[in-house]
Amino acid sequence: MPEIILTNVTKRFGKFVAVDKLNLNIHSNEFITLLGPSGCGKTTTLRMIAGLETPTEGRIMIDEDVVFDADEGINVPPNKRDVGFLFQNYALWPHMTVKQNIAFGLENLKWPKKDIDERVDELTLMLKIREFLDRYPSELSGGQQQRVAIARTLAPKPRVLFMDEPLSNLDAKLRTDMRSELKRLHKTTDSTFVYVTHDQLEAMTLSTRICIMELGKLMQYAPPLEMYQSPANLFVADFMGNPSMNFIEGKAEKTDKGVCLLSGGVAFAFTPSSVLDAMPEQAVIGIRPEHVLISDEGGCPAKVYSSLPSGLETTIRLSLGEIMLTSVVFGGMDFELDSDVSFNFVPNQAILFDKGSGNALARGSLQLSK
Amino acid sequence: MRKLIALMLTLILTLSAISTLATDKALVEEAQKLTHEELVEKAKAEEGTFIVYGNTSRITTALEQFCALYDITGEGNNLKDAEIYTKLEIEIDSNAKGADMVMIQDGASLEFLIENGYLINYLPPSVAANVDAADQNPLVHQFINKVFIYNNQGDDVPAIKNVWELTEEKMKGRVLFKNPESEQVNMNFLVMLTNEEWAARLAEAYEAHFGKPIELGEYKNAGYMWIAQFLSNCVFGSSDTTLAEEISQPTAAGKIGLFVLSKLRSSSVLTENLTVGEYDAQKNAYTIQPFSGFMYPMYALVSSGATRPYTAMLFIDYLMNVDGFQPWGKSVGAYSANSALVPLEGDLGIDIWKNTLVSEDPAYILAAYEDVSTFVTKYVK
Amino acid sequence: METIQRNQVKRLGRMTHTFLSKPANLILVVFLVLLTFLTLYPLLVLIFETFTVHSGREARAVGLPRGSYTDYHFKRLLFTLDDGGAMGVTYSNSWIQFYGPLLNTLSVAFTSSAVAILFGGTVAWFITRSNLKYKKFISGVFVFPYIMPSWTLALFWQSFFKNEFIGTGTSNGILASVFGIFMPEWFVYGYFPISIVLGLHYAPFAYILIGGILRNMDANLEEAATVLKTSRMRLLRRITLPIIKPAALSTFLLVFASSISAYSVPVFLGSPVRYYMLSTKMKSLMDTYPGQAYIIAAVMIMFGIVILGINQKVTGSRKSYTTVTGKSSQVSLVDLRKWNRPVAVFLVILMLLIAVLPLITFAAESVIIKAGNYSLSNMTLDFWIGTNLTYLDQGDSTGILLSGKVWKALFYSLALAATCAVVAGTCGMLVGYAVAKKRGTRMANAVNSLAFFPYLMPSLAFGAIYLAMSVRVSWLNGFVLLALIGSVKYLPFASRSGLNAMLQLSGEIEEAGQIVGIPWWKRMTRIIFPIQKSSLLSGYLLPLVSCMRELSLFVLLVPTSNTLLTTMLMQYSEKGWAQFGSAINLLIIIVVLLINYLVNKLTGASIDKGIGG
Repeated sequence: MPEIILTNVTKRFGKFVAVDKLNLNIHSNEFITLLGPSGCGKTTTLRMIAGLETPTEGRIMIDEDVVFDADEGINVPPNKRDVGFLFQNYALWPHMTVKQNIAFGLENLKWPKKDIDERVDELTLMLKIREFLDRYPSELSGGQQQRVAIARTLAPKPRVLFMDEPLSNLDAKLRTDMRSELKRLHKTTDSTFVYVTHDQLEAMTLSTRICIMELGKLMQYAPPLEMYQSPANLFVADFMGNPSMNFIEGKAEKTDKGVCLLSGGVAFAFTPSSVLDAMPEQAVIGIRPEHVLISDEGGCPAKVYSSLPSGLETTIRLSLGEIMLTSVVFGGMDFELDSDVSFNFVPNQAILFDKGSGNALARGSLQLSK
Repeated sequence: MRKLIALMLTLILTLSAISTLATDKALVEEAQKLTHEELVEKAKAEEGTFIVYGNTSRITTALEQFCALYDITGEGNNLKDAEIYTKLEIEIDSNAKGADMVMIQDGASLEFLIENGYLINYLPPSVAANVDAADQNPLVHQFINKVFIYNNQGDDVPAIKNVWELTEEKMKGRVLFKNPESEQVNMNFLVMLTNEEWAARLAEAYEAHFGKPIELGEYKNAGYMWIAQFLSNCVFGSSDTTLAEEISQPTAAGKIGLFVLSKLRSSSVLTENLTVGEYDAQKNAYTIQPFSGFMYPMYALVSSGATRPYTAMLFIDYLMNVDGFQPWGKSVGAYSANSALVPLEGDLGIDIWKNTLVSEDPAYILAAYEDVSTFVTKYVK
Repeated sequence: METIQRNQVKRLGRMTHTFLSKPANLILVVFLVLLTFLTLYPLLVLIFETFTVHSGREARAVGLPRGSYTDYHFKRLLFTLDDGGAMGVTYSNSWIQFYGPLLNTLSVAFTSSAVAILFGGTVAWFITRSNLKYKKFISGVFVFPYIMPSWTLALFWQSFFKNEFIGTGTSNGILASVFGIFMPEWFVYGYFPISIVLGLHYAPFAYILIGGILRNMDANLEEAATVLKTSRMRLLRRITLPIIKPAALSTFLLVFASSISAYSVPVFLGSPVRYYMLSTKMKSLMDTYPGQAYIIAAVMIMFGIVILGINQKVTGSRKSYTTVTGKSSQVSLVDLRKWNRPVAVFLVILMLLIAVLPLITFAAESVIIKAGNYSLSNMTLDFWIGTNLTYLDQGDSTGILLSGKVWKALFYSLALAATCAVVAGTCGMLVGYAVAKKRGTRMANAVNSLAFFPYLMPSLAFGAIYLAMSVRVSWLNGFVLLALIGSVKYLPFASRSGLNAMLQLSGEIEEAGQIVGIPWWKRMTRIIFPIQKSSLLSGYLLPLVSCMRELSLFVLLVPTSNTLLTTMLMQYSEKGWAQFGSAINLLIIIVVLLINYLVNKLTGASIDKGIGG
């Protein structure tokens, strides 16, 4: 099973740098997601590995074969890399039936007719599109077209499967259904999946590891939960999680216990649980909404700015002087606007960031200074 | 660098062209000695399609008859004189298959082609005795005349007796002439009017008509003056055939044109409405002072690029005699250089025409062309 | 040291191999070389000729032997402004031969472009965005003026409006003899009719290009304004017009370039009153002073280059508008209400006049014996099917439908047109594919510009250059020469439609095939071509139709005037053999219309799609 290694892969379009010295290592049978906002370079990266785009610099290896090397002048065409590619717009051939679409690639590989028919049967059965074999793509719904596209991609049994935002054209409910289908597909086909999306929830729920990118650079590469709990920098911390993390920004001062942050007229005390090497000038403390606990007794006072109950959870915005904090309460509770509440921070769930570099410096506990 | 290469290429091509020319000229000279039968034999033995370029539409008819007679495959092409000159040069230069024989007017341009060996002269022994020495080299096949012809309908018939009448105010817009810029022989005619002889005769005619000596003012001579005033009154047509048709219409009463006489043969020309020049039956001559129009020869020559030179020569021989001349001879306005052929009934002989028409003098035309044509351009604009 | 060099070479080798193994790159390289040779080399030859002495009169005038270098032509044509004497500078040689015609050419070009856009654009708006009646008829017939040879309208205009008070003033056209209406000279000959006729001939361009944009315009744009209670006029001015501006500008430039090089229309409608344009002057100078004629050709080409440059800047890099998987947008039509009938009827009558009346006129002209007389007694079918017509003493001895000459010319013309269509169409498709795939790169831009360049070269000048080239290259003559120049000349259209077709196709369609290893030629034939069939075939149709009715491109290169139908026609017209001429003219038009109809019905290809609608 293949291992994909990217070494210093760069892609420039004129002066614009789309992907900047990317180093990535994908193990066999992983489900890797390339995640990030539009323009971060994730699709470009995907296409470069597949061979649809040529990097400007760097080296790409698939399963110990060098498929691209800028210095050596090696560039293996996509059809020789033994990969499958699922396009965002499906790219089904409109003048061919579903059966022809799926079989076309296999015919080209000179598979005997019997084998082709078998494979088509197998796939269409698995993806539940058997009854559409003689229909044309324009006669199918979005979800059905999606599955035909998957069937076509899987037909030649590629060792790696690339998917470029395949679910973005589907409606919300169908999207959720398809997610579970894809996750099961990953297990049954026993291949490596490389998946591109801008939806962090999708990345979280599907991947074994997430590679999060911004402006062409790798921000963090880690399993989903690790990325959620220990974001490497401000960007990752902000991007992951919904509702997003609370950020408290201000000038930092060293105290004997740790760090004191003054922000919006409120003083916060941060006690690191590991050694803090460097002392940032401007610091940002982050804490997730679910770690801002609303309690009846003790705690710090705040006013309820807004309350959005969704049934499963309620998102509350608290105002504390000039500071706004978001909190999430599970269960069907509702709060009155402008009512007074008190809250606490869950210990050891705050993270200290350096505002300048954005890097996470230490994990620790957050309290309000009296 | 490229220029150098192209220059060299052109040089090489020209040289190679000249080298192949030499053989043909000698060949034609030798052929002068052959008897008619020998010529026919050699012609028939040649291969490929016999190609002819002619300035006249009737060349195709003549060629058809010729081919039927000798069982030869031929192709006749009717082209404008300027086109023939351009094509010929290019074909011979690039050694492409082109004309074997050429029938063409405009003696001034012809000079150059003969000088540089593109065209070779052949005088058929059968007619050598009957062709004027002056018309033998280059060989004249026929003469064509363009004369003053006017519409005889209506009240104001322009039956002119003196060419200076055409320069008067009242003739403005009533004179039809093919644009000299698109018809070389017309331009040649105008050039000829500026030579010493014609300028003098025009000056005389001026005095005869206006009763006082000519005052040239800015003009170089009487020829220039007449040209300027004549052209100012002219309306230019696109072709002699159309001119003939149009001027013969009843609606064209009061108009006069200078165009090819033989166009009268066309069925769409209403000849009953037309009168030619001013004909004096007693003197048996046309009496418009100092000329009734002009004439020019049509030459017949062998192309130096000919792949069927003997056929070409045979064809020239054919054309110079009765049968070959028939497509032209049956209508008015065509005069063979072969004096053994009588002119058409009702038409005058070439010797009479020669007295009252302006003829081409290639040497003078070449010398004066630049000046006169620039002058003419101003009045044709 | 050695190994480093060897590695470098190996690397270069591998890179080149990878580069060329992508078909798009290979195509671009091949066409870059080919097009450079076929368009730039002739240009060099042209410039060379402007400094060379040619034979005959020119050699005498210059005083140097043939082939020598001289700047005489430039001096004479461009800088001789002082020999007008008392009559002034407008009588100087340079003014008469160059600057005067230049001025005329520019004024005609501007006016005809304006006419084309106004007329074509207005009708396009009516057809695409209103509920006009008789749409099918109007839009079907609208392309006719473009399919018919350009001189058709000119000849029609002349024979319809001429009368005894203007021009040679000896015969009356249909309007004068049948209705007794005598139009003034400025209406029938010169600047006015030339501009109108050219404008009408190229109006279909505007119709197709502007109509294309209007058709795809999202109705929501206009609806949003309507909801904000914008008046109809304001809507037109502030929303619709700005959107079509790029197409309008493109049309303007194209028509401008075409008008500059138009030849047959000025010959028929300008020369009778001595209204000369650069093209007519070039032709007449070609016969006597070729050096100066070549300079005019060079000037016209320069115009073309400038216009091409402006066009590139304006349209910029084309953005892909993928429509293969697109949804059709809602189109809401403007209700014309009480204006509907009058406008529709007006347009129908206008179209009949422009498209159908000329055909009737030619039919009439081809059966009358004596000119100007349109009574039945004066009519005969001899010119069509008569035999033994030697009494006429004109071009042929049989009616055209029985004439071997005419059939030979017809087949030759069809064979030539078909060859050009296949060559140009295929090359156009390949170029379109490669440029679409590699759009934005320098090489793609270069090939794209080069492929469009031949269109801007005036046909007459192009012919002249290829003639000069044919002397230097021995195998370049006859059919090969004609087919080559025809293919190169119409490559722009084919590559335009090829490019448009490819741009509409999302790249993923091909990539999906690439990933599973479908070889390039199979991708072209089994995937790309079938999907975009009608658009791509239009790239074949345009050269086919254009070649059939092309004159000025071939006129200098045909072995004889009888080779092609169009050259035959020109010869007959010049000789004044009106009936044969009109008959052949009608024959050409019918053949062309027939081909257009057949191809349209069989493949769905159409001129619209070819030009880029």
